[in-house]
Amino acid sequence: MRIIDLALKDLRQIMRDRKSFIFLLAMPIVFTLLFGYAFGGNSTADPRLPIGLADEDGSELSRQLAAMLAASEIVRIQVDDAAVSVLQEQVADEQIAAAIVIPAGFGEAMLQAPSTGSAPLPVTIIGGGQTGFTAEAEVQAGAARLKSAVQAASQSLETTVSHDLLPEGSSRQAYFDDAFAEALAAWEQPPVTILHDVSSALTDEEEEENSRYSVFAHSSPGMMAQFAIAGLMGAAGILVVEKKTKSLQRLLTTNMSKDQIMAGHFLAMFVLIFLQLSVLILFGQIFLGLPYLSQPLATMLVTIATAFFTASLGMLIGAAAKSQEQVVVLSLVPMFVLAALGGAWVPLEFTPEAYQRIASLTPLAWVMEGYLDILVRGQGVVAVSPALLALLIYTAVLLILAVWQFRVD
Amino acid sequence: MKALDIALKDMRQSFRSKGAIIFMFVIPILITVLFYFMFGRIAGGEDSFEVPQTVVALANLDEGEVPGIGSMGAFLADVLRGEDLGDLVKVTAMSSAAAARTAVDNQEAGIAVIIPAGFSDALAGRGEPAEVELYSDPTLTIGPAIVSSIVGQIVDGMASTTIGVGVTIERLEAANAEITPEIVQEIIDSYTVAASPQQSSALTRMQAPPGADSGSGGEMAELLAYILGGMMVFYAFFTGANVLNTILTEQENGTLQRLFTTPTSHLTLFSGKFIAALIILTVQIAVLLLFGYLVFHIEWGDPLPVVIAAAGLVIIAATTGLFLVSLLKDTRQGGIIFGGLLTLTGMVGLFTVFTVGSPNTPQALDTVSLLVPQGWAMRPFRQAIEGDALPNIALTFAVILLWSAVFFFVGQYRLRKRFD
Amino acid sequence: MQEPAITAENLDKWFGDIHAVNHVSFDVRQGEIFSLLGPNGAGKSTTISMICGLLPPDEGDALLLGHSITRNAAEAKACTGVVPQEIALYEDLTARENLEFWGKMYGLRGEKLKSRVDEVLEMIGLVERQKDRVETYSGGMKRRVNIGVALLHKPAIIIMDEPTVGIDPQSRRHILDGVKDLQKQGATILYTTHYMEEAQELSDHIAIMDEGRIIANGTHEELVRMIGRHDRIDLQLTVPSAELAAQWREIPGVSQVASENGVVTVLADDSNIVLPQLFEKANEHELRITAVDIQEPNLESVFLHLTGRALRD
Repeated sequence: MRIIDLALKDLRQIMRDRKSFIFLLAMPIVFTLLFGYAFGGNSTADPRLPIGLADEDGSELSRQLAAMLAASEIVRIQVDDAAVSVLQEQVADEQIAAAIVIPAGFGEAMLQAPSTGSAPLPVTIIGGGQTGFTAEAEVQAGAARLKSAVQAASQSLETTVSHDLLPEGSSRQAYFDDAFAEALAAWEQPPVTILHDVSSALTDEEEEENSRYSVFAHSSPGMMAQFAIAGLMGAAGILVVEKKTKSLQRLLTTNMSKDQIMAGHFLAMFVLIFLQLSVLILFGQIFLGLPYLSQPLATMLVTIATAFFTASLGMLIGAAAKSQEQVVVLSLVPMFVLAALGGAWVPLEFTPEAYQRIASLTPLAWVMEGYLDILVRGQGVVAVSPALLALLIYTAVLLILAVWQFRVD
Repeated sequence: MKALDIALKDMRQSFRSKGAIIFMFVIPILITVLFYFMFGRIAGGEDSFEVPQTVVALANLDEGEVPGIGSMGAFLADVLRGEDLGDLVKVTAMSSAAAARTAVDNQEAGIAVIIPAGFSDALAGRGEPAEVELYSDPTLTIGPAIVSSIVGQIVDGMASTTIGVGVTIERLEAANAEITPEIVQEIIDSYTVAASPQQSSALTRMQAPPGADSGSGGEMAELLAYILGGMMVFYAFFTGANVLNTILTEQENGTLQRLFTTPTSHLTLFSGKFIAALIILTVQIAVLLLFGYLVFHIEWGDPLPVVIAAAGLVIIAATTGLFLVSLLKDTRQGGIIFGGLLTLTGMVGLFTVFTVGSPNTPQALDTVSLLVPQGWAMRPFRQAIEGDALPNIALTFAVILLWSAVFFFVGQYRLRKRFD
Repeated sequence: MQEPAITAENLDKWFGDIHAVNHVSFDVRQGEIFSLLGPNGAGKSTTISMICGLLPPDEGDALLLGHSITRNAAEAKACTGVVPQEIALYEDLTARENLEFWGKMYGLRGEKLKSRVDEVLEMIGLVERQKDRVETYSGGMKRRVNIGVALLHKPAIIIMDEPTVGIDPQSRRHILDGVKDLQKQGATILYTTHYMEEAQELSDHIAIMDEGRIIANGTHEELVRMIGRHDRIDLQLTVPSAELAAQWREIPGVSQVASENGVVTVLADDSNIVLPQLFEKANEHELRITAVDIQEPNLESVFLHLTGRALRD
């Protein structure tokens, strides 16, 4: 009972500081939205990669390639009437992800390639990194189909001519054009296609809803976890104030044991963080359409485990810090480091393998894993149980350290 | 003179404080190093683009064969297992489509490639069109995208053969030619070469955008310039706020009141505090700039623009600290507000740094970052790094001075009102 | 006649509706120790704060060696050293660094500052620990540095605000002896306290404050004489009785009766005459007196006489 009294006292102190309390809710919301927009763009706008196109050839083939790119589900032609130099500037300024330059002579070279054996003129992709690679792959696919159609028409003509089967009155060019058109038409319904599907237990409706807001599926749990740690500045600060004002020493003169005192403070921190996370989850569910509540039990368990871990970190900070300044430092440093390592800012997939190996062991990586299992994979308790276990282990370790530090003090 | 004494005393206290040293130097460098390791892959070298090895759960259910060639499913599987793709793909054979999908569901594989039963038949022009299913982990993008691209190329290559052969045979049939197996084999042989990935790669070439250093270190150094520059700006504002916050600390300790009992005017006292902030900030920024240059080989830009940017940061960070302190009642408020408000405004102001390289970042966010002083403080550093013209940098500096003037005026007015 | 070292002229201060200091005036002669004595909340610290220049008076002024604290603050502060009630030092600096800094704030520089810091360190007995940070000091040592800071510039006036609150008897003795030494060196000392015995031991003049006013001002003898020959009789009863106290008040020769924490204090002209009557009345109420203490008139009695309350609350 006294543990609860102590916890309520702590919560009352924290809640009275309304400005900071609101801040700790407002900040993660703001950053969820900002990071979501920053990395995903406007979620209602076209999510395809914006590219620029300069057709310096103007042949039938280059127009076919441009049409393929215009119909692409991966890239979107944002600029198609600018000079190459302008497109280069736009790529450098990151206004477009890449610029595609179809060189003069592209069509002619492609048409000549089967008979002369020469290589077609390559299409230039101005860009770099992941986005350049994506744009290149798309152009390659389109160019390959064109080349294949040319090849088909050329081979068909050659075979026909070699067997003396060219229809009377039909010119080679006309035959070639017909065959080319046929081959291109055949590509509309190729014999083999690729079907893309994702591993997700979400319903079709939930998936459609999620895909619209999927830009926030990463930033929401990331910012929640990051700012839960930031929230420790207030909660852990209570312990420091208690030490400085000698109220802790006074508490120790009562028949409350050290363990009970720690339990009371831990309970307050846990409740505070749990409430913070819960409000943010509701925000994500209602306003961002994130399917947190598609797996309510799993979400609750991950949230509880996250709150446990964060509270235990708060206990260690409160036990170790000797001043408010130290509390701020000891809260912000783990916040940044753990957020970076945990993939709260940038998905770990984009980081080097060694980094991933280390990072995947850190607590926020497990938090992210747990929430992403729910939000993106639509999975439940079984899937998140490794994350729960990991977070509970972290909680235990941090609490042991906190208790030790408290006893030493 | 007394103002300098106060400033020197504050500096001594600051540089003795472990917390202050951590905030001023350790954290910015630590985060830059973290970003260095995080973005090491994306920045990459000249031609290299370090990609992860993706585990592929492969279920080859193909039952048929293409005459003269064999099972196309096996061919596709062999290509995926080939040495050439060994760095990118690690194939695990699965006995069924369900097993392959389960492997992805259990995160044992990043993507499942399921070759359907009628794969070879479809490619041989028999039966219905076939679908190769790619079932991926939705939390992964690079690995599945690469596998998807590889499989797509191979499948397209195979399909192009089928289409080419089909068109040729159809046209021969239309010309009432006798289609013998030899003719069909001849046609198939001529298309097989065209389907190989090596042929496809000659269709495109990459070119770096202007300004991108083709050297393997250049792109990384530029990225780190933004990151370390951003961290420097971010933490400079904390430094300014913490130094000026000693006004509240001293009030709570009683030393402020004691100072008021000495023949030291309030103006001298607060001037001393402000000078301390300016000096400490100058030291912090100089050290970080030098560190970046010497250790990360960061090219901050021409000296004059860098000096202007640094001066702007010193001034605006100090005046923002003065303004914030004038709003606060006690150090407890300061702890949360500094940590909270400065983190929020810092991240908003430095958004363009955090999202560097992301093509989907709306331009509007650039504007949003200029709503806070940190955004303006970062701007001349970006301009210096990018080699922008001096008049542009001077204009930015002028805006920074304007912000600073407002903060200074309001801050000192409120403090004087409180303490005079 | 020499001008006073300190002149408080009708100092007045309001905090909202609370009239914390109500037209307080007094003079402190040069070279004397002047105590402001009163219970907590009497207005002593507020009065001192106005004299030091920490708080602007709502009305009135204070002159320190003729310099007005409101109009010539710098000159007034230059001749004053203040020892605040709470330790006001930079705990992350060493004792030496603290003294050097504060010396500079008082205008000392160079060799003069250095030698003066050495002298003060000697005076407060912290030469060997001078390079240790103040945060490592005991409470008593911190108090010594706290006092030392006020002495650096050899001020003509030293203002000490309850310097012995919350410290051990040995340190307190040390401080009281130190105050006397300072006086011997020619300083004028304005000393606030709520300990009667300190005021009695140290002071040349005492002003008693209560509820923002000076209710008495004079030497110890003058103040005691003011209440006449009033013996102070402290009696402990088995059971407190307001009725008995009221009856005691009626006894001729009894001027004041006050109850505090089970002890009834009676001020009487002559304890020899009054005491038997006190016992008699107690017997009538069937109450036992378990302890009796008779004291000569002192400041405690004066305060009790003037306010009807004990000095120590």
